[in-house]
Amino acid sequence: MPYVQNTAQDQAAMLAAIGARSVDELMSVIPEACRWKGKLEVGPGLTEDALVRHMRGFAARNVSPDGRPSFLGAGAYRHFCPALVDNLVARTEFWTAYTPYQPEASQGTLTTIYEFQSLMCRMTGMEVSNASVYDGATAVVEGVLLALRSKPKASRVLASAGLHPDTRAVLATYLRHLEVELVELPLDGGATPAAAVKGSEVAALAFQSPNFYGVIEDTKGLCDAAHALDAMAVVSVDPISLSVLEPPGALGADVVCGEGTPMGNEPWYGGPGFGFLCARMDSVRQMPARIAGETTDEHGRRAVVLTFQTREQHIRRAKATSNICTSQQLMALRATIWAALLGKQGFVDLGRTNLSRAHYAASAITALPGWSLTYPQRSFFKEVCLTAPKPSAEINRLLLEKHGIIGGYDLGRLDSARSHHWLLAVTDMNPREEIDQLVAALRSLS
Amino acid sequence: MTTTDAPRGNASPGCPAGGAPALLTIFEKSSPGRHGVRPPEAGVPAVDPASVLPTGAARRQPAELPEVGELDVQRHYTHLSSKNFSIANAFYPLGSCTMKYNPLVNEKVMALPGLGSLHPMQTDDQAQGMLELYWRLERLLADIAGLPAVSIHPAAGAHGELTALMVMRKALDDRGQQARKVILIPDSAHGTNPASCTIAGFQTRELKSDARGRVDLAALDAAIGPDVAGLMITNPSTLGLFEPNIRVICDKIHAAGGLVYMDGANMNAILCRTRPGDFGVDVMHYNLHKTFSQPHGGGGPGAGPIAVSAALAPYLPVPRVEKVGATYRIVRSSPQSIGTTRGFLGNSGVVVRAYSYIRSLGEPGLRRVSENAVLNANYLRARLKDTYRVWVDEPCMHEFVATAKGMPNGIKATDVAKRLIDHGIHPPTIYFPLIVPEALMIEPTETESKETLDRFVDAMKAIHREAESDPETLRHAPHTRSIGRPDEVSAVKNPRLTV
Repeated sequence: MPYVQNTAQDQAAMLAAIGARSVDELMSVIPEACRWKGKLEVGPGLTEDALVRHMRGFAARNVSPDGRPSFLGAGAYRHFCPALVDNLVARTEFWTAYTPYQPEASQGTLTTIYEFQSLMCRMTGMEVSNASVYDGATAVVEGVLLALRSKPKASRVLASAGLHPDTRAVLATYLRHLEVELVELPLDGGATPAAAVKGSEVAALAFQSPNFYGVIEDTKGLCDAAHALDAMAVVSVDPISLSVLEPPGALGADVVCGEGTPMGNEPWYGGPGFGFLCARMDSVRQMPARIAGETTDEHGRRAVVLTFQTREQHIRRAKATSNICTSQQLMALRATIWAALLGKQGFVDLGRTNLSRAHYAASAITALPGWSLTYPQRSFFKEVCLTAPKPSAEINRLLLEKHGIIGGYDLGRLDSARSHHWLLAVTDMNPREEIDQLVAALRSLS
Repeated sequence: MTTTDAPRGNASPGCPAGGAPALLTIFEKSSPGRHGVRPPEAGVPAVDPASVLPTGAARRQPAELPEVGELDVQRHYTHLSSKNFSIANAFYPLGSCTMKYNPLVNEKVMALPGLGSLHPMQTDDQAQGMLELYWRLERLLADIAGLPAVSIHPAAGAHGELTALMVMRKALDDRGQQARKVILIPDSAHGTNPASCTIAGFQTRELKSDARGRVDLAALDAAIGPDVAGLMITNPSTLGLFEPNIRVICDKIHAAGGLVYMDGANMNAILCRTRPGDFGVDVMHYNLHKTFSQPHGGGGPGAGPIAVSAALAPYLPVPRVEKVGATYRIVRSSPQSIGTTRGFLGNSGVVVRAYSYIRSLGEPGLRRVSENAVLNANYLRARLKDTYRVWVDEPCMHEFVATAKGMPNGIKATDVAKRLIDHGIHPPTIYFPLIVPEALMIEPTETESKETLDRFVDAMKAIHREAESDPETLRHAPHTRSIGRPDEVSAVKNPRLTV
């Protein structure tokens, strides 16, 4: 039987040492009335070869983005990832270890968490980062919960309609259970108007830049507007954009968070990715999830440990800052190694490749008849909302059927009034040839 | 490695074991102008950020990322990895974490073209294989739980707890039971249970365990009132004990108008032996990374599917996968659903591996999992109980809790744990559950061989002898790692959280 090593002889010797006649006797601690006598529908096990063949069947029933141009983003992006990332995270010492409860046996993981926190603070311009949370949507929620703990008298949260739709949905679910009022701020010309940031007893303003529609928000203006209400500014960012955009930490943000998957991870059909969450040092005791910190051992040697653990569920229980126990450490490690390999200049170059290609694509497509920028007065980084001459759904169908291209995100899937809006993501994974191929294909469809 | 005479290393204070080099982070290995891997070149006319971005929006100073060559990045992380214990190089009996073998074939299937690279915003017709896989795993998990409906949406065990508590809240509200705000939780529970209750808007009331570590029925009766929304119970418990009165307990909660939640962290012990839905549980979560053998990744990823009764099924989160005829589609809204609790459908990478693991084992394999998990734990219990007091000395399930209380020369659980590291064994979970002083919570899992278990017993006995003969060596253990015991107090007093 796979993965179990005990032989019949081993079992007999072990039962003798225990003083039991059979495993069934050991299992008799389960009361007779609770025992299950049925058989699972799963059937017999598969050999490794049969298993791989079975799993290939599922893979074959998907339309794989492998080997074909894809311009789909909408919150999940493909970016270049060096081969060495896969090689290093596959090391079993990283891959099969668990939460570093014993620092002497976990300096590897702890040091990488410390590096990850340093990396995220340098990218976002913030002072403290945790070791990761589940994903970008829950990172925003955790940022808002941090603000609610910091402003215990406040009972209201403002959230931009430019947040990713999943983030808005998750925020609504969590806040409903805490009886906090969630006020959604509609967009004006694709951006969150600072003038809409108003109200009393506001704990936080949450917004995303670039927002879901690709628009770069006025981060400083929005942070200032939040502070005028004595609210905290929770800013969700695409970490890749921090290569060319001023970090929110320099623009007044109190919490900077987001989906970390673009850094060294694949979309993996929605997960596992990871979320990051950075704040100011004066918020450290309100932070959720694990935090690593530097100290020394009893011989004075440099060491890294999990710290500020009195915030956490295993100590504080019902009064913990969060219920997070297991998060997404391996994915955060991928991001850390990815950033180390790109380095300071490589990260800048990567960002400029995204910016240049997205603008090249947008210029070429909007030169086609019937196409235009949906928000011509706004700026974008790697994703842009375009208005198409025919329904986005039809364009995507024709692109895939006739040209083998996965098109942009059809915004009509969210809102039937936006059936001609097309969210186009162009990254460092779309070389010029793919963009030219897309433009030619769109021309042939018009 | 010998287990009766653990290496000392160089134990003299001030002298690092084996002359280990001082720890340096990747940032401190940086040298200006160096680079690792070059990213793709634009290949189109370069756009100056300042020319297309609003005033003040362009980054003024580049982020100070490390500047290190590819080879030195490889060496750095290879070296760091060598400072970790992992399942492949050490026995890892971390109680409640189910550190079993992680089959590599599951990595191979996860990386198949069309599975690993699928984009979450692709339309349902482009993801039929993945959606079918979700649907099938839901069916398998429902069958194992004895509960009809499953959602694989939650990202981790504690996230499953939270999602399930939200399901309970919504169901109670729909019955006009808004006033029920209290969740009963045994004092042996994981800390995530009460923490999840708080985020879901519940209050918690702690239930004292009896002398045998079980729910005290008198205490339960006293705690049940009209404000009770339900009970969160871990079964088998964190003491590794099956709750003998589980049916009575469920009946009492139901009679009082509450719901029963089961923390499924310990499902490994009961696979194919008993089903939570059959003994009265309304809702439970799985930890796919524990029971179904996901690599734990140094702290994730996991996945925390929840299984619920038919009465609770309408409240499950969206998105959900639905089968219509021969095709699969994602349902994104549902009138009674609690809503969405994370981005996208789920941790698909974990879902694929868990499905693969269950299919490789099949029914006979899953039966052998619980059989050998229970046998291995009882074998360790039987062999250690004359040396270390077992807190509740009865047949256990997948794990048991011993205590270091009363060890010679005041040796503590932490000393035992640290000395095990010198024996090349990852320590058990210590100081948990909270109801056992100096707790050593030991879970061997089914994938360990008798020889490995025997080596562990030898090491534990050697440490006990050492507590008598050489307690100072224990108090300063470990002696064989790159660091000795770290000063956790100064880490908080003088926080250094970034390089």
